[in-house]
Amino acid sequence: MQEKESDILLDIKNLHTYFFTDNGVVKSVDGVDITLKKGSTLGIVGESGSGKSVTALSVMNLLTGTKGKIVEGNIHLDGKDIVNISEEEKRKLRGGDIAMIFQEPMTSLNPVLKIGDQISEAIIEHFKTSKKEALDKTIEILKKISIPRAEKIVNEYPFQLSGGMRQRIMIAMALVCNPKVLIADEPTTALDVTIQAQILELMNELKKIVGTSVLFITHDLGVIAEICDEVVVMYCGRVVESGDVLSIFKKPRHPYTEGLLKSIPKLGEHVEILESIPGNVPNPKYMPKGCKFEPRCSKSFDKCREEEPPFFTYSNGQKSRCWLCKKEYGGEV
Amino acid sequence: MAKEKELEEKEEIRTPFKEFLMKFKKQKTAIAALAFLMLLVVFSIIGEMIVPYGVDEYDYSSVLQSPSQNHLFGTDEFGRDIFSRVILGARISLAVGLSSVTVGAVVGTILGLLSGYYGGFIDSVIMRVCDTLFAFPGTILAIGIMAILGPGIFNVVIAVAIFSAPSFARIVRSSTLSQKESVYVQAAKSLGASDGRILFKHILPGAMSEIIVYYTMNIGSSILTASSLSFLGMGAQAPSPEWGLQLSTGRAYVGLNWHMTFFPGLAIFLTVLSFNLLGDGLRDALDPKLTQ
Repeated sequence: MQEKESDILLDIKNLHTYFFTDNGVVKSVDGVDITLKKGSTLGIVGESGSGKSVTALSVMNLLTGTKGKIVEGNIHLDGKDIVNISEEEKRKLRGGDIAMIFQEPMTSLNPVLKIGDQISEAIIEHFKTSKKEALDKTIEILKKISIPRAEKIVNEYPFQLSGGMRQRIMIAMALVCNPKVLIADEPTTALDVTIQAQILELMNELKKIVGTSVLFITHDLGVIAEICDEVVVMYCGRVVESGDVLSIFKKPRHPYTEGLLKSIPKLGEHVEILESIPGNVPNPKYMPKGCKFEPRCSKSFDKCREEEPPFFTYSNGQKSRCWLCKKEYGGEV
Repeated sequence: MAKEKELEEKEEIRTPFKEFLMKFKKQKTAIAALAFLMLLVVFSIIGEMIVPYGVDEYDYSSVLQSPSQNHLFGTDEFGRDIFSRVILGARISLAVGLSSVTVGAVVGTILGLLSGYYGGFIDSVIMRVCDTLFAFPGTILAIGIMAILGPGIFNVVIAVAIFSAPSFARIVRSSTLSQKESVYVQAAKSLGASDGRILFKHILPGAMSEIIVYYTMNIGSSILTASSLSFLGMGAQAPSPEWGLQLSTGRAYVGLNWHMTFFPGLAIFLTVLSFNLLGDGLRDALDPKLTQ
């Protein structure tokens, strides 16, 4: 699978984001490569603490003010470096070319501001329009995503709306400026299943209308299957497997991905206990020397404990960071 | 669907402001305090039109008279009507109280926002200055500042403003610190909002209820401080009808002519009490945690 350079919209290369806490350095993201193609949706999956949200925050440049810092690596948007630019340029990028939807719709809207004010804020900021024009545009957008009573809702406060409605408002806020990249950080986790389906449908629809590429962060593989073209599996701040959705769901190459897929309940199948991956994510301070997943892996052998595997690429573009793959090739391990 | 719409329209939308009004109406003492303060405001606006005598109306034929029909609160050592002077003194006390706390609140709020939002060096500097100011008892600090600035009612405003600012800075800082980490501030940042916009449009409204309550409570205590300064001869100068100054002159006659100190003292007491009660009522009505 050869990609043309111009097809790539967001290119994260060798990203290292560390948090410098009082208890030492936490390597939240440790050498991540992700490429997002124009018009496609890429899913990032992983357990809590795997570094998927920190990757998103690094792209958004929202780490200032925290203890986190990008220590190495590059992020390019449309071929333009977005790490080594001034704060002011970063700010213009946020909400303009890159926008983000957050996990908790209940807390991501300011409780003391009217819905209309919050949405039109971004319009005023990026298009320098008058308040009146911004509000008109806000109502237009709300109507576009078929929110009922749009004229009334702009004068209401977040507490008057349901969770699903708030998440729709968040999506509207993120999309007002037609961003090139939309980062969705677990946008459906806090919602119930029927609303989840509606939100996903809405995002799919908007993607077509606005032409935005989406970076979809989740721990729900069902959602990934629903919406994504490609998927990246993260574990302990590293990408362990990547490829297009179909091939990964059909034949996962990394034991971790396999474990994740096995732990989804299947419809129409009666099981007493769901399969799970034993153990926990290792403490960042006591990372295993070899493969990070080795202590929890049922298929591990000596080589896994000694050396961290590199990526092995399959002919269908699927990549996996596991020594087993080399064995499959017939390599000596 | 039509029925649903009907229901929706019938149900009154409870905006935060309406909710606040509903709760505030239940606070009877606060309403009474507010009424008294409104009366004071009216007095200070149209005072000259309702008082029977002027502030400087000397009458040497009736000095140091006890309360009577002619002089409701009696007269002072120059024969001036104390009732008229107490009513006209309301203007000075209210003006000093309001303006000093307003200046203190604005300065303190801005410092608190900067301190909480940016942290680091700015935070350390602002907070250490506040700590230093906190180390002095309020009145002593005001006396110190007055000693530098010299006596006069305008300098009282500055002195009181300086010592009320740190409290506002602390309150706003703590609110800013907790809101800074909130998802809605992150969300606003992710939409490209500038620092100024985040501070004044997203964080300040969230801190507003605390500021309003503290503002109201603080007016009472700053009126008290301003009166103390005048009592000590550092604030308003004779022949001003300032309440503290009246107390000060009446002090010499307190054994025989109780009315000279009693009525200005009562005025100070009631005004400060009203501001405190109003503040309590506002706090109960604004604090979402105190819902019964």
